[in-house]
Amino acid sequence: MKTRTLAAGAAGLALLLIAQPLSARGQKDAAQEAAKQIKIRMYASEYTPRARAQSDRWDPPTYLDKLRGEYRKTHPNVDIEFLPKIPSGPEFDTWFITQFKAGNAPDIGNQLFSEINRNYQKGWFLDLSPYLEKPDPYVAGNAHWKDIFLPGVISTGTAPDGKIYLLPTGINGTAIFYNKAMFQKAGASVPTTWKEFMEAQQKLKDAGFVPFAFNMNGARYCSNWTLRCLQDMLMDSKLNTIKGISGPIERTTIEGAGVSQKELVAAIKKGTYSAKDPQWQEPMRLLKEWSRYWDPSFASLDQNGAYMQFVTGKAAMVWMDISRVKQVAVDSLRQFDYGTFSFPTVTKESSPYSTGIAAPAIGGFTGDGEYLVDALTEKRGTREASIDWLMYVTAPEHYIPMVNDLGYYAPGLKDATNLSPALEPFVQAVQKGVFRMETYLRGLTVKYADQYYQTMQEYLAGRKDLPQACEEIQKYMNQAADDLVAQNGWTDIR
Amino acid sequence: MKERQAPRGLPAPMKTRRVRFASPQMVLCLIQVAPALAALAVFRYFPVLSAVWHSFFNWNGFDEGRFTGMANYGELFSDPVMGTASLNILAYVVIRVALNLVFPLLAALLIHHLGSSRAAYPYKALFTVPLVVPTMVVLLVWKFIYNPHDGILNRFLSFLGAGALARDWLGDFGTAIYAVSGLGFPWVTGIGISGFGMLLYLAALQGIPSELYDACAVDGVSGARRLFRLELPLIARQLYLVALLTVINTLQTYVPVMVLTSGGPGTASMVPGLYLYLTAFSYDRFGYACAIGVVMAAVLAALAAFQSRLNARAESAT
Repeated sequence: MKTRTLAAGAAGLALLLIAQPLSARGQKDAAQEAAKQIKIRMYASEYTPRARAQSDRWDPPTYLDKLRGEYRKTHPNVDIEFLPKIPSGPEFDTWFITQFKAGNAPDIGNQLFSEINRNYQKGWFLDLSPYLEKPDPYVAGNAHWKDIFLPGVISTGTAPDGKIYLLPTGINGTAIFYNKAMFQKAGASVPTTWKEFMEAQQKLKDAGFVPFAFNMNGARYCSNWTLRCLQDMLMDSKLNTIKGISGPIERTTIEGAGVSQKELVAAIKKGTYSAKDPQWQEPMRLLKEWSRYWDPSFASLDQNGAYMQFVTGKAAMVWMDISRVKQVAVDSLRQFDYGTFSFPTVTKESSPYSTGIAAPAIGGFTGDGEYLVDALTEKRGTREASIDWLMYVTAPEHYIPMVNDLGYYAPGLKDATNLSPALEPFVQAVQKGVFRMETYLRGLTVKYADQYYQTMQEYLAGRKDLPQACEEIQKYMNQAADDLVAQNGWTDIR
Repeated sequence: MKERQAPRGLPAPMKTRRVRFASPQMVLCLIQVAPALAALAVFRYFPVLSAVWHSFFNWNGFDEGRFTGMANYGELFSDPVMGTASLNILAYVVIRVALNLVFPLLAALLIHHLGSSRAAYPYKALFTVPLVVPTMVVLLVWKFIYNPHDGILNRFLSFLGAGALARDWLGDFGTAIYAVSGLGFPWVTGIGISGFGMLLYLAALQGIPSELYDACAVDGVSGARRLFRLELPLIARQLYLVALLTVINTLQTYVPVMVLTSGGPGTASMVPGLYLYLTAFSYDRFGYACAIGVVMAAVLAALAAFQSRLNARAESAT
């Protein structure tokens, strides 16, 4: 018994001696593991997962949360925090700039390419080019991460210095939504040309419907979209003269990229872009022609008002952006089937200035999902994990369900299998190219945009005829050009 | 030195000691008020002086700007938008003054002549409670009232059989400015200072000695004659005060216009306050915006002085 006890004690001691270093090693590993714990902070904008609030009329996005959970299973040392959503516009832009200035920006941010191009020289953003050459391990057979994206993602994300600081993976776009029942009752068919568009609206009007909920109060989306489309089609033959080149100007996926602000100012000074030019006046003439079919309260109607007119069956059509796709689909106020179509093409039948070119898309790679990585991630030790998480999120297998869950902003991916059919047309439209010259919203000065808009409203209300309105606009245009020359010191423009 | 005598029946005035300017007591007083004076100088007077200074510059609000002398003022007087805005604000002021003088006064008279303060209390409360409703809420409600499709105003007109009068109140060139300036029915409380106007009038009416009402009753003076011969002259100060405050308040206004019409359609409802705001914050022309602000301040000061003289003259007449 004594011998047995001694043997057991010796065995226990031996075990203890063996286990001691093993345990110490385990503790060391755990400590190292804990030290390797990485926390990524991500600003996911519209995709930010959240619980449904009482004011929500449909389920908010949650898919990113699901992706985080799945990612954590294979990357237990990576913790991902989603920052709360900030209202877009000046409030967000101020937050974005101050966070980067203070060195407190999220590891993965979300911003428009135009803002990145304004700030890329400040050294805030990581150049993603080397990582885009590497394979995305979450996409089977992928050799280079960049290959999973549509070309527009890379071209839009490329800054003036040739580096890629941004992956604008979300597509923004617009479509005309129409009430199928009203079209059927009026005997109207979905138009593809301006002439057909006018005919369809005449039929709707004759049948007692308000054909179109055009809106001019508040944000000027509707009128800016119309004028951009009409100008791109009707000034097509003159765009190269305005730019000062001989060859044609191709459409790209970047809005207004065909003619720069400086080229536009030079054209105004030379008189090649002039409100006195009948070709310039043609979009305004067509706009007035179209206004016969608008809701009579178009001057005080805003985007939401127009949406309500459409969704409650008081207007047959409305022009809206991609962010309304889910809203229209789930809105309980809507008691009819609807469809969408693109802005119609102006043909020779409707205008002598038509070259037959189709209407451009409005939008581009400016939807949510415009990812950038903070340059400070290297210092924080979160760079590799941030890139890996981005590769994981942008893999089509993960990204497409995430987009479907949100319900709007189409994905800029080559493989869009299983994408919601409601978003499909937006992907197709943007790839055909967007408008080439911006003259209304940001093209010249904000003051000119306001003056132009005010004069146009007077023209539409019949308080000014076309020559009077154009003469006034020309005056404002000249002033805007002078202001920009003085502001930018463009001494080479006479 | 002769002691100041108190009128009979009143307590003697407190003796005041003359304090020398350089005395420690004065220094202590100055130290105590210095923070408030400094805050006043930095946050009230400096911006005013800065605005006057920058009104002579082509300034975008960030850089140092370029001195342009009177150019901003020259532009202001030839700016067609400023011309339209000035006419609009004139209409706006006239309408608001009329509304703030008449309707709160009617409400005050009704409450005053209810006789019992117990009966008057619920009405007072009813007219005062809307004062706590945020202006933005009031404006959004009025945006809905004016809605051409589902708005109460057009529906009410149709109900009365006057559907032909229904229109796009805020989108019509002919009605936009009047719709904005006329909002707030029944104009007793709501936008601006009309709610306080009713309380001011009521306090003044209640301050009229009952002997005067008794004398009116003995002389058989009642109704409109009592109003014009007795009540209005005795609350003239309050009427002037409300008119003055309405003018000052309304001349600077831009929030209702911005919320309801953004100055449109065209510039049909543009007012100087909104134009100043747009010029500064949308067009980055802070120098020109300062010039607009300086002219607005000068107009306000002149009107205030004019109204004060009228007030003094009216007082001396009574």
